[in-house]
Amino acid sequence: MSSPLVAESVTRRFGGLVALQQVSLRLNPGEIVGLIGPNGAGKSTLLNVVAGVMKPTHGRVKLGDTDLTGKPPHVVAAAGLVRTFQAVNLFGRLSALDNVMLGSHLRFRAGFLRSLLPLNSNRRQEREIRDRALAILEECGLREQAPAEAQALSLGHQRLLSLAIALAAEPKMLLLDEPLAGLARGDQEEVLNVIRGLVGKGLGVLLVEHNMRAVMSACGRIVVLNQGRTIAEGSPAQVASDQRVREVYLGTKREKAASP
Amino acid sequence: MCEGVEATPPGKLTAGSLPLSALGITVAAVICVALLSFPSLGGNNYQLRVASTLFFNVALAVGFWAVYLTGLLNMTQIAFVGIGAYTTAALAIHGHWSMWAAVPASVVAALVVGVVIGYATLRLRGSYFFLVSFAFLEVTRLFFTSFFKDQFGGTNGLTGVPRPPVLPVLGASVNLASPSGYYYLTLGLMLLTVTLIWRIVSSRNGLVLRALSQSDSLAESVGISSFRYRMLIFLTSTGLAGLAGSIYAYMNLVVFPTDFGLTRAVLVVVYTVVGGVGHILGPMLGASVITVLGEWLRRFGTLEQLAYGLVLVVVMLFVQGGLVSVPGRITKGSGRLPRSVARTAWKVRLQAMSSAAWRRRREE
Repeated sequence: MSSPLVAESVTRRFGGLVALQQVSLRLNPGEIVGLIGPNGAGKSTLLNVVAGVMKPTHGRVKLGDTDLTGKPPHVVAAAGLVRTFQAVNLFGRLSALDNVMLGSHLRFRAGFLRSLLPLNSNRRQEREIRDRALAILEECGLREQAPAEAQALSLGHQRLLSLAIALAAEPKMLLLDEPLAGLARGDQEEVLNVIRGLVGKGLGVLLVEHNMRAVMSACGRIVVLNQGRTIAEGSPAQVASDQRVREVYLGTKREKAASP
Repeated sequence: MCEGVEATPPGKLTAGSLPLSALGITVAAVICVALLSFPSLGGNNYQLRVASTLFFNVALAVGFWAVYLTGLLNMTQIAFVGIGAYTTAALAIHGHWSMWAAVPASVVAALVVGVVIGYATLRLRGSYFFLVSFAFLEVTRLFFTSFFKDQFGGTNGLTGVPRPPVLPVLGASVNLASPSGYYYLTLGLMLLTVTLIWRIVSSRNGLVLRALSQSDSLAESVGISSFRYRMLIFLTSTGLAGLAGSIYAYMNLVVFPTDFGLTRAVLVVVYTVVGGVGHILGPMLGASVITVLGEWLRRFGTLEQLAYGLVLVVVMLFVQGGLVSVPGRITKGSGRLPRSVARTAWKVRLQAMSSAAWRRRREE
């Protein structure tokens, strides 16, 4: 368990716009790091660069000794770095069970030709995929929803299903892009509990989130971005008392969080 | 424990396709035997020819549908049919190759071009892929029209493909160059296509293919290489298209560039849409119905085209899941009139009422 995720001075430009400037980040196994910042701070860009959706203009992304800079998303995922999406992103017309089974693709992928043969080993493995997917659904409290079409689930269940799909991929590091957005408080707790359980098992979690209460309570360390730069990093208490953070972010955000 | 989960059969892994039950296998076997014995049960030559066309079209529709499953509207398929047909014709005419060498060579030719085209285009999505694949279809047709006129014959096409041989089968001999021979050739093509595509779609990888049409980004995020899977299904479809083209050359004994143009490509799309994309039976049904309908409409001359258009419009308006969705709608009881029909019917009724009232007033 000694393979941290490291982003080294990542810069990303879109034409003249500098979305990220020399941002560094380290995520150790077994810790939750919160990534916060106002809209447009570069949180999603950082996540996209780390997950391989975008190439960094400068800088490197490494998981342990593996260099993942500029690798396509499916290669990054195969290395153990799995992300979720800010908007609901599911295989909408497939069942929840199918969704999670697809998540375990890396572990169970079958040769194209081999999967065409009526082999016993194929059948056995397919049963194994199913059982494992059901176990993961159970873990996420979605056992009852297994046969339901993903697009028919409630938003809370859809968020949990996204998480379940990511878990099925057996990540070493999990990048969560606003997993609590749009959820009722009870559902938020449910998602957070699942996340805490994972971290207890040695998973590293990067939590991009707008919900300050959740970030403050769940994360051991918080990184604050503003206009593409890291402006603060530290424990929730340190970040909360940081003058610059208060100026750009917390002051206004707290009032928002207080309103219903 | 949830009952729904327990009730989900193991075949659920096939993601929405029917599980391969004992009943399904029996029905398929009975149909196969019936199809195989049709010529000897006294199908006349006309019926055999229509049946050959039908099998050929079903094979094309199923091949098209397989790629469509991954979210790509692939217009290149007919171009590969053309490549297969021209390879066969050129090798058989100029090189005097036998059928046993020319057919595999045509499949290989289609696959080789397919790999190149696949690498160039399969990273594109949606309308971009559609446009490029459409361009390739036209470019291929123009290539056969304008280049290597000595080998491919230009606009005059290639005539004089040697007839396929007479085969000894189980003591009897089957003349492949007869209506029943073509019947068996195309039947074989269809059975091969349907079996292969069905196996792929109902395997674990079929689930991956379906997933790709719904969210590329999510698939990539769990380690699925969308390019690789699109390439595999594209090449499967392409190889089958090459085989179909080769058989086409032996059936018609002439090949023209215009045989492999937009008209045929659009027809394959129509088969698939009319039949329904939710199940492999959709393209099969669509191709069958429209082929038979087309034969029947032939007596009306140019109206044939109009009727095709009409069928497409009607299906898109009122049977959006395609013909294959009709039984499900009826059994589920949701077979009430679509809103648009109901609205039109209501307007017609209103008009009839008002004009009747007007007439009454005049009579008074």
